[in-house]
Amino acid sequence: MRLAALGLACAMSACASAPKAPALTPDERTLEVASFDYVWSTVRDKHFDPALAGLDWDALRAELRPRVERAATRDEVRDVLWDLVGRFRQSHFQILPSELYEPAGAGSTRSADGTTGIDARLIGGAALVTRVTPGSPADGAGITPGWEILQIDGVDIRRRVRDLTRKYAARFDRDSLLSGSLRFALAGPVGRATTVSFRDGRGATRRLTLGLVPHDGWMSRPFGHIPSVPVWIRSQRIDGRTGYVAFNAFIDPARLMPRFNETIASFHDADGVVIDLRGNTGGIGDMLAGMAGWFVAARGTTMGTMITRAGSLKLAVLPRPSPFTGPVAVLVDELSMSASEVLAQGLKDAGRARVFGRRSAGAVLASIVEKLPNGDGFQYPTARFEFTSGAVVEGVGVVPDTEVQQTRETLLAGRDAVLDAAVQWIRRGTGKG
Amino acid sequence: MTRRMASVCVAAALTVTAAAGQAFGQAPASALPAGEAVLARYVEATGGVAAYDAIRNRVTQARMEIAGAAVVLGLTVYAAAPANLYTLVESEATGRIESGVSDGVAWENSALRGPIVKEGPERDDVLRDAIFDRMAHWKEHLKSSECVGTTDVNGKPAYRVVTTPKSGSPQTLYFDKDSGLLVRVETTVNSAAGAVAVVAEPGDYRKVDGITMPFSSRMKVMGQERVVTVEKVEHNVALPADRFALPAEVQALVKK
Repeated sequence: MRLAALGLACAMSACASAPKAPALTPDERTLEVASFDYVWSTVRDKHFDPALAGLDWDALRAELRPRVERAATRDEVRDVLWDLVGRFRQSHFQILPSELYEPAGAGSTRSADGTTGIDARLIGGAALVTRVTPGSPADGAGITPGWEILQIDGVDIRRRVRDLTRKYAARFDRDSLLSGSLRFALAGPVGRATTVSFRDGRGATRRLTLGLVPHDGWMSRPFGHIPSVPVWIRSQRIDGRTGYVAFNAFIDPARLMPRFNETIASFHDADGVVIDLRGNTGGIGDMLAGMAGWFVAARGTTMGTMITRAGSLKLAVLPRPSPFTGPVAVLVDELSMSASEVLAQGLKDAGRARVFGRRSAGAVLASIVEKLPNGDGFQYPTARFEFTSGAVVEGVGVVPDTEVQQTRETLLAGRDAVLDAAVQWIRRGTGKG
Repeated sequence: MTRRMASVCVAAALTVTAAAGQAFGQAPASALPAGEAVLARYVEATGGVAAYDAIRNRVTQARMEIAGAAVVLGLTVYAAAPANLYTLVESEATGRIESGVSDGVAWENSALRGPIVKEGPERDDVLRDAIFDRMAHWKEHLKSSECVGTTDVNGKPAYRVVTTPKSGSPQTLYFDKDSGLLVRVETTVNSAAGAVAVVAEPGDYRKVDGITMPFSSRMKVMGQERVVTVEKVEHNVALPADRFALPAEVQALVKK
């Protein structure tokens, strides 16, 4: 799972200008130095590439460790750690602030439990609402897809987008980083409120204060050092004919998989199935084989191969007893990451799906999360993927078969252009359109 | 994406558990002891054939931890003569993963991966590990064994014995020269994901009902470490009649 670039995600929110953490005590500094050493040696010993991407790892230690020894705050240490692992220019490196591991509740500083009900993306340089959860505070306030977000808690989003676009111009994951930051800026602890200014459908500016409520779905059970995150799954029949399922993460398999299984089994008579992975940030790879098995009948099919320093593992699809054999469309965007990209590319390579939407995040590495001595989490990649088609997805993204871009106009018209394209393809392909 | 290792880990854990009862064969033509002698000594050191024969089933409760990642899975293994196996792996996060061997069918069932009837090398390995009394009756289950040398394991010399079973992958077993106990297993675990090398080091030997058995095992799988800690072992338990019955979902696959 790519944990939504949490370490950078607050770049677009008020927390970007929040006061720095308190100064480190001598004991705390010792832990920070130990954490740097932990990160440095773990990457040296366990990164999938023993050549460490050609980096002079010893020289980097000599360069950066003194900065940790001199750091005044933990935030400064985190910056150094990001600098260290950022030299790889690879996904799945994350420094997860210890605050993410605090239990939710009153006084909690964790920041992703609550939602206004808005999902948003950077589209054409503008921060646009792409979905509003029915019954949410945003829905109650009359907000609709297509509204442009101008400010969040006093932060000028247009200016911030321009600044970050320049700042991250060279990053392969710039689009996912910007949209991820936008999504993060709209989240917060349940019970708090956020004030957002919009340009509505008629061009008028609207300033609304929205409460933060629990997400649809549930908070996942912590899995090792992966913190608890919101998980949801939605499904419906489009026009009573086409199956549609969307879920936001490959997390909490004990609760998500039975729902997914039940949903796909119920689509046995559908004219096609749409798997909407837009905004799905990935998760536990073990779920891939079982999910793909609902759409692949042939035993021996793989979604690709995972290459570690110690060997390789095939991501073998495990066909379900009665898989769905009709057309399958997979929807992706710049926030489709990791396991969701593997599922999209793997089904595409297996000839079992056509991919619609925007190029995905390009964050396709396997990883684990460990705890640092200072209490922060540390996610690092332990394997790369080889897809059967030879497609390179890490740093590139899954390239849709049909590129479809949402616009403010289509969103304001109440249309989901990507879903529409997928459904039309299914119906053309089956002669039922 | 976090790594897809649970199934391999479980298979490895079962292999290591099973290795406590591995078998042996011909003596090598060298100064080293015969593989058969090393293995026979292990049987004696852990209780002797009569003690093994007195046990007809075993229920083991354990937990498996992925070192460093704080992932802990509960593991319950029911094993019974002649070759019945039922394993339940569970945690709040992953749910339940059942697997086993019933009437020669090697199977798995979970919401995560669905019902599976195992085939090929994976099936052969699981069937090998399900044989309950292969320790006491090793000649029936091995094609060959050979003591090929000595190696230090954690600073102590151990005999290295290569065993080739009649079914399943070869294994290299290391026996402490002094105690005769099994201290390392090198094996290959086959699954739909391919063949994965596993190194396990059993330890913390304790006597239960006349059998000395390992209560811990540290495994290295694909560069990561797993620790299995046995919490409870019971023998000759009154098991429900359907303990090893195929789940309905698996039964449906078998009938296809």
